[in-house]
Amino acid sequence: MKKYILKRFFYMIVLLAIMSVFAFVVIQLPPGDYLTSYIANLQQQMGQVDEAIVVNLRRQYGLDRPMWQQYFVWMANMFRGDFGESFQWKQPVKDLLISRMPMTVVLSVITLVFAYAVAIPIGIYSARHQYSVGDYLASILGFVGLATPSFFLALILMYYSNRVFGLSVGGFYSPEFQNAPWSFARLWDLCKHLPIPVIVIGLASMANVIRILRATLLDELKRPYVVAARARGLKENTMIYKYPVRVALNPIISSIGSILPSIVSGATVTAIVLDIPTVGSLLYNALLSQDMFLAGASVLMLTAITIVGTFISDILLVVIDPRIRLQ
Amino acid sequence: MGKRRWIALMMSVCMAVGAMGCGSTTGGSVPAGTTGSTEGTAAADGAGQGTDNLVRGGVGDGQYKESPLVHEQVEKGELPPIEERLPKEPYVIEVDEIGAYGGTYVGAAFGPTSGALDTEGLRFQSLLTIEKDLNTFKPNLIHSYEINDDFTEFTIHLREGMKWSNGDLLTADDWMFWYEDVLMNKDLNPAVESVYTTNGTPMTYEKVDDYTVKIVFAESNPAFEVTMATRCTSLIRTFFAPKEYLSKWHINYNPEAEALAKEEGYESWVLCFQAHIDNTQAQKDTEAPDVYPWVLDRIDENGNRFFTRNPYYHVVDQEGNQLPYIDEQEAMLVQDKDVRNLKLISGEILAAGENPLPVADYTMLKENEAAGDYQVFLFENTRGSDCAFTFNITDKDPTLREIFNNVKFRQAMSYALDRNTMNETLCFGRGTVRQATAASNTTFMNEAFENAFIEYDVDKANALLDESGYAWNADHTVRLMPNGQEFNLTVETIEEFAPFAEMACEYWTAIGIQSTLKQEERSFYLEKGKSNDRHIQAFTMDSVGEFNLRSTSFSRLRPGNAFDDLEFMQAYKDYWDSNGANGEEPPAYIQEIRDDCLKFATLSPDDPEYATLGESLLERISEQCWFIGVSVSPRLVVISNRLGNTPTEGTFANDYNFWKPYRGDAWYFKY
Repeated sequence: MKKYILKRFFYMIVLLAIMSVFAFVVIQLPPGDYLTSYIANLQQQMGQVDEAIVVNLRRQYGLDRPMWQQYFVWMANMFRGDFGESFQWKQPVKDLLISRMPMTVVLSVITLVFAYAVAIPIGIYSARHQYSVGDYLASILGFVGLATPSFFLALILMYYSNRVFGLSVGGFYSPEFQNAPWSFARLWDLCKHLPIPVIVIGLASMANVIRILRATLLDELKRPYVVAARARGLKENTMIYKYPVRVALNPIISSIGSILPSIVSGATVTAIVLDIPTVGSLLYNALLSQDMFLAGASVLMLTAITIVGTFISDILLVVIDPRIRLQ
Repeated sequence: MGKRRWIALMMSVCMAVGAMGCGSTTGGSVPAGTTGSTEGTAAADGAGQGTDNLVRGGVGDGQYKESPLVHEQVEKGELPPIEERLPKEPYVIEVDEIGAYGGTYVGAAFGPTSGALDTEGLRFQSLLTIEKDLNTFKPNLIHSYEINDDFTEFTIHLREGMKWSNGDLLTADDWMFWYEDVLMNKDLNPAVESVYTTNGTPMTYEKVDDYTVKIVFAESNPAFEVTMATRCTSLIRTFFAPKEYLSKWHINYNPEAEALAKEEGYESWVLCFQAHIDNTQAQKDTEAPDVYPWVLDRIDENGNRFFTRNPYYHVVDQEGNQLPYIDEQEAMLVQDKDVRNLKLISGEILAAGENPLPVADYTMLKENEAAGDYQVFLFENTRGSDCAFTFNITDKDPTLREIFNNVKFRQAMSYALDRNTMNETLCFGRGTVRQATAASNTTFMNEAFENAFIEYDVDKANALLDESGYAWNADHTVRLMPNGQEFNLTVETIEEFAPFAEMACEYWTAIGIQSTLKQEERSFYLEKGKSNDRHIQAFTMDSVGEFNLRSTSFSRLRPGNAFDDLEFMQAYKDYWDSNGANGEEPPAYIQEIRDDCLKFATLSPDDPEYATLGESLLERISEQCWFIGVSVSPRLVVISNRLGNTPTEGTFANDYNFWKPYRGDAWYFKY
């Protein structure tokens, strides 16, 4: 067990180092740089941009240096905790990420808890009552959840929450609480704005969990050990929760690795439509405008979290599923 | 079908349903109980959110009156009295209605450092104003100016006693500081922008006295008047800069500037100085003084920017009330255009006019006018065509180059387009069908140029292609190029113009010129243009209003100046840019058109040759059929009913930040 964890840990470190190069190179791959998109932007707003301005800007941003030089400067600064300055925001990348992280994590954790809390019981119910009315209802809900484009659902919910409940459009807070100090009123305002993103983002993963759990649990319920347990007179509920459900949770746990980064980045498209400042929408805009330090740092951070997430789910699996431990 | 259009469609459906469903529920029955939701509720009711503390007419017993808020500060001794804050002769404007003081204006921002013109465009000021007719300029930041006969000397008289927003006096020294230590400083500004030069030679400044500066050009430059009226904000500011405030970061004034820069976290004094002088939408220094009606006050952690009243602003209304009427501005960051639409409908955002506000949103915005308590207007713009097509006449592929150089081919491609159908399908019939040429309100415009080769005539197109010798293949499905291969052209564009290009490809394929669309990412698209690797391009043709033609030597219509997004003679452009070192020498007739375009810039509109040469140029360019246009659609402008002194019609162009002629400083809240 210890050896297994150590081995995994070592792989993790190697992967991280490789990914740091990738994160940087991938952002540099598209033609042009931040200035290309910045100037395209200026052109749209102010007409033609003089060549002289381009020259001046390129120098100001240090974009005239070769790529490998930029990478090493970036890495060296990173070890000192300096992630560079975002071109687009003109703010240190660290500050930007830190200011968005808490709300992103809060939102994602609430969403995750909501999705699992609803989906797991429904999944178990539908498997145990296959082809019942409840099962059909759950299946319909599942398919609708999977099939509805989340950005579209977000727009509809936003529109009605404004028309019916008078909530301000998008964001975490109403305008008057945006920059207010923490108070109960502000917390309550936040609580009123949270349901939409939680439902929209949660619905898709909820549907997913229901379907997976139902399918695997159905498989398990037909296994001989279930019959044997029943034959030995175990209470139905105890038997189900102790054995088949535990096995059926296996695929859901192994997906934690991919869930963690999405907790941090928040569902990007939905976040943009809902106008909530999460790390995901920050990254999306950084990639679009080739804001390389911001994009690089975010990509690197997300990769790191994915790798850590996989590491955790590997270990969790071993803990939960004795069969893996033996192999 | 584009995703955007789909969303728009679905949204209108859902809004329509919403309007029906909401009829009974919204009318005041919504519980307003919880703290903080009252504002949103009011907006949803359609009544609009009222602003408290609106005060009609200013406070003061002298000649000038001021906002009660400022008056309080004066009484506390935090600010000098109004007579000392205003210049000796303030700029007096005639407003339609004397406004009430107070309120916060909110506009959308599409990025933290750009895309906020719906707020910032209302505050930017230039040396001269552009009046609503777009032809009259009046002294604004300056008291008056004189131009000598050959347009080489511009004598500028400053407003005596005018002050920066921090109270510092604005004198000729601020002008000289900007010119000598910023514009001409090679470290701060390695290259001088062409608007400050004639034929590559930068202008010079001469200080005559404390309130007079003479600007001298090496050659005649009548377009400089337009420059004075359009230029306002810049990375290094324009025309003058606050010397007293900025000196300490400048190495010429402070030998310790390097150390100071390091202390503030910059690599060099240059970067540090640049960070402090920048007054564009990327401005970061909230202390930096300015001369605008509102100045940057704070930026919150989400990137929303707030601008507060400049108590030293030099403009008063006809009754002596100091402008602006509105206390504060906010540029509210939105991540998506649909979010902006919803925020308009909910009344959170008070005006919108900056792109992207596509004409396709018209119906949806119009339907919700009552809900959002705003009005939608259709403004003119300075576009030649919403989407124009050009064929690369210096193409690297010799076969294509030969074809694209054939004027009959270009004409045939123009005749092949059914512009009315395109307009109906893509602009809901709201566009005006025309050829891509100068904007239609240009004084020397001739209808013939707007209508050149625009009728939908497949027979004519086919005849022209037959004449050129591009015969059909055996099956009569596609035509053959001179080298015997079948036509298979690629039209390159970005997402925004893909629907236009898609339809064009169908029309062209129908006359045997098989064409396919290739949609590219914006920067990739631009890079391909610069390296002369595109064959056919589709992009908007903006900035061709008359003042563009005047101030930038015929703007995009000048050969070699079609901008990176539409350039179709990159090899000639390289030749001109490098003075003949790179690229290819252009043929005589193109060279001649270009020379005349440059000559046009040296003529003043009073010169009889101005209109003659302008028309002759348009005619020659139109004959070439270089630019194939489709239609021009109006620009949607949304303005809240709560605001007064706002425009109901006009022209929107990026050159003057859209809003400048419509004076944001005179806007006020009615309720």
